[in-house]
Amino acid sequence: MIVSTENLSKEYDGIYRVNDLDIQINEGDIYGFLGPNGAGKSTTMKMLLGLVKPSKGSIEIMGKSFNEKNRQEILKSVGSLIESPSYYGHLTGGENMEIIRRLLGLPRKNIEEAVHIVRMEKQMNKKVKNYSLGMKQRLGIAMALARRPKLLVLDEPTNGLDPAGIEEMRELVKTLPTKYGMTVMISSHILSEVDQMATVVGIINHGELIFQENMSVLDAQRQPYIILRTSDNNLSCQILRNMNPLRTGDGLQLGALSDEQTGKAVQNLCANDIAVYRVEEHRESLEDIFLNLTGKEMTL
Amino acid sequence: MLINAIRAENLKSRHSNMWVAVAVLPLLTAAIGAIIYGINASVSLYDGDMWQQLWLQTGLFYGYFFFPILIAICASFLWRLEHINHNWNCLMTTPIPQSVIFIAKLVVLAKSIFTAQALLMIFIIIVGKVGFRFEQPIPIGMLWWLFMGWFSALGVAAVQLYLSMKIRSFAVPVGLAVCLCIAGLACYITGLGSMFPYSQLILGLSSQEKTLPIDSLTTLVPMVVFYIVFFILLASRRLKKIDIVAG
Repeated sequence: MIVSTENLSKEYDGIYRVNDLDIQINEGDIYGFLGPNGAGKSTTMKMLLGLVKPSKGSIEIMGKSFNEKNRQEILKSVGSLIESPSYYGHLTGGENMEIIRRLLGLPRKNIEEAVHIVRMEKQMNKKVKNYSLGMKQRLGIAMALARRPKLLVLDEPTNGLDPAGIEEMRELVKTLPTKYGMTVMISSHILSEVDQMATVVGIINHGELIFQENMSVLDAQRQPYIILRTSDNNLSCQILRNMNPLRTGDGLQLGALSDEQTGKAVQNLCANDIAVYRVEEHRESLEDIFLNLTGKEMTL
Repeated sequence: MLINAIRAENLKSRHSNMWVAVAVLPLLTAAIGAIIYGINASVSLYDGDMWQQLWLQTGLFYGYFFFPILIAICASFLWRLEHINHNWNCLMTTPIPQSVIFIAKLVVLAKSIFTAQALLMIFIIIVGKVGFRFEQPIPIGMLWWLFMGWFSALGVAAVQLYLSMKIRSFAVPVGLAVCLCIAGLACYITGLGSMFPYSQLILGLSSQEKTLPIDSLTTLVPMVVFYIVFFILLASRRLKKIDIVAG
């Protein structure tokens, strides 16, 4: 277990913004930390980094209790990008990296490698104030990677990025555990974004962890289903009644069908002079699961 | 670790506008000193030690106001770097002790103060030698003005650095420095100069006395050290306790 919290809570003005969180992150996980804006994601991540002091509960990182005594030892192996990237705008990207190198007493090789991973080699002589947001994010990640962390904590790293930047970030995060042996905790309020890269998902709402599960378990639960749209949906329902169809607004929904079963169903309808307009396979998305859990939609 | 942190702080302050203030304020001080000296010299008020007379005029506003305000401006510049662009997050997730963060900044501030002092002494020599053609040799006491002026300002540096760390605004700590200068002046006049940072600095510069205040060293030096240590501890305690809010 690389991160483990017990009853982790933070109170602001008498209200618990984060309440009794028991987060468990194993080595090599990409832990997708999801929740609407204001759910307590940033506060939780800041507590894991010692930036915010918990009101109650405990944090263990790499088997060490996070306290003043272990703070330095833990932070040596934890890289992070919280809220927005940190940078000194009046300095170049290279100088910003050099500050990190000096502060952490790292060899130059680490910096070169980190800059290479985020593909920023050509931007190192430019002042950071002239960077685009995407470049600042990548520089921020390079700063976090420079110490070759065992744990990387990324708070909404795709915020403000264009679609290409988001895709690039996703690909980068996916490679970190396998290529560099890192564990990644990444937060987002966009569920579909995490759906594509996380191996474990934790969902926080109103400061409470309402869901924490392996993606593989989740995938097993998320059975695909078939939606049919035909020229006569009511008649189609009758014809396919042994498949227990569900009449939806403009079609009918069948359960998880094999290719053969799907073929037979279509054949059957055609034989009864019903035109089949659409055969679509759907899968429950994280949004659907979240909706089921909270009974409301997660806003962007 | 401290050396690494100081080297990082040195790099952060590169290309900083702080250095403009460090160059301009001594220049302004020397210019004002030269003007006042020139006006008084034209009515032949001076005799004896011309360098001391020039320092008396130059150091008057410098010690009372310009120098502490310069320190306040530099301290605000140093923390402004962290107050903007979410740099608090990066700084506080670095595996270095909180006290080292503060001390490293204090060392860079001390360096900038020393640069300002050295520049002022150079400007004074130019004013004396080139402007007023002093024939008297450059006094050895100038080394006292330089070094003791610098050392006795470190208490103010520690206070201002703490204030600028705590207060996100650039201007508020500078404004507070002006108020504290007035308090410092009051302490200096009432003979409590070595007790309060903003008057320790006046005492250390010793521009307003004919002889160097050597006998006050026994109280001045320990009190300056006390303020430095006290504010390092206070800053370190604060950084350990507060929740970091980066902006």
